[in-house]
Amino acid sequence: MTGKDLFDMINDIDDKYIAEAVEESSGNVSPSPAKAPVTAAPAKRTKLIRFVLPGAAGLAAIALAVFGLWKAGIIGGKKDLVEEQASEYAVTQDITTIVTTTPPESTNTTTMPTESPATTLPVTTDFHGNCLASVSIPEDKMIEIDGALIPTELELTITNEGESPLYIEEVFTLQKQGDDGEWADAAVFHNEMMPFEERCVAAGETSVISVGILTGHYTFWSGPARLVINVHFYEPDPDDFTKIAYETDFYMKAVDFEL
Amino acid sequence: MDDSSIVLLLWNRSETALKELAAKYGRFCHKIALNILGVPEDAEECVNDTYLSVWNSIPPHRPSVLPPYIGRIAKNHALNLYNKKHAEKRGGSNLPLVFEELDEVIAGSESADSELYRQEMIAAINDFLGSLPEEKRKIFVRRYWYSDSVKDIAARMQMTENNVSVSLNRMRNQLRTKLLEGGLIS
Repeated sequence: MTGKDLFDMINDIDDKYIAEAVEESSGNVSPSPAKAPVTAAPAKRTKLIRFVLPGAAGLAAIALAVFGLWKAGIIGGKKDLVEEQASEYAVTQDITTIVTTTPPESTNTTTMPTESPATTLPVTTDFHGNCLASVSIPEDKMIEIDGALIPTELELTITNEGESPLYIEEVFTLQKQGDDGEWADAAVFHNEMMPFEERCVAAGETSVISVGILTGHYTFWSGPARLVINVHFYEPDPDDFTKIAYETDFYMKAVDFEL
Repeated sequence: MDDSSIVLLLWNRSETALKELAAKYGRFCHKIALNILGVPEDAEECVNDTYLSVWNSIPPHRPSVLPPYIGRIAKNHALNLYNKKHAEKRGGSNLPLVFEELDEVIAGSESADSELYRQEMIAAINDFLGSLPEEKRKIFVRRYWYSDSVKDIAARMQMTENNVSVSLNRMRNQLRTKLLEGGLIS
């Protein structure tokens, strides 16, 4: 069976789901990007505001968010975290993901945890998450195209400074800086075949993770580049640190380098 | 004009129905076709074929909800044209990437051609969709039914492309797990 076979089956899903997916875009049935809402505040930010509003719970959320930012080194003089060309991606993202991170009910799962929108504040969540990251381009992974050497792989070095093991999601975004200084996605790579164990870094350890960036999936450029990764800290299964009992922290991290 | 009025016009064989159809669903059909074909002219051809098919099928059909009905027709025309013209070699189509992503869900599974199996798979996919939060479900359907690009979904859902990709990745993993647990794939 192929992806096309599955696509054909998805073609026959219930009408209500097809109709439901049309409902966005400002009440217009046209899903044209021209009509779609442009980047205002991210949807999740709205959720954050909703969490913050109710009195004491709101104050707790702010405190958690500020604590998360301090831990991440964005505020409070912990800038040394970014010394290895690494920088936190977006303040909004960090706040949001911290607030919406909740440990799953089951404490015996061995599969990747699923996203679960928080309905209450994650009071049982610990925030362990610090890591350093840098990117280099291995010389033996360069190929020559039209006289130019183009990388096909990046080496992502992760040092886990947290108290919990972490894993990196197998989705990596390569970003390019525009003339206006804003970073925009140049390509998204899914390293689906990368075993989970290879994406884990135990607390206090450093690992090098190879990230394939297939030429043909992005237009090569020379100059500043950014790799955006998703870092998850988790409480491990007591018998195997590569198995997740529950997640304790999650955020995006942007690692700057030169192409 | 509301959908029931358009259907009524079609049912009464009024050519005004086609103008109303084009005004309300022209862009909708064009987007579906363009996502698959990647060539505006081919998409336009599909849209015209869609109007003709709708005209020929209503009556006898009387759909209660128009978007899925018209969307399916537009999509089928686009897929037929895609197969005919091998649009993946012409660039611009989202389909090759969509197929590639779905390959991961059923990787290594044997083919089972029976209609019973197909119906079981569709039921499992519907169950899976029903279990998703609405926002996630829309992302999944926009990607794997409408074949929208990740960029378009991000704009529609007011998310970053990275978030959309991560969500899709997780949903594919969840779907694969569900199909494995149901014994539908191996």
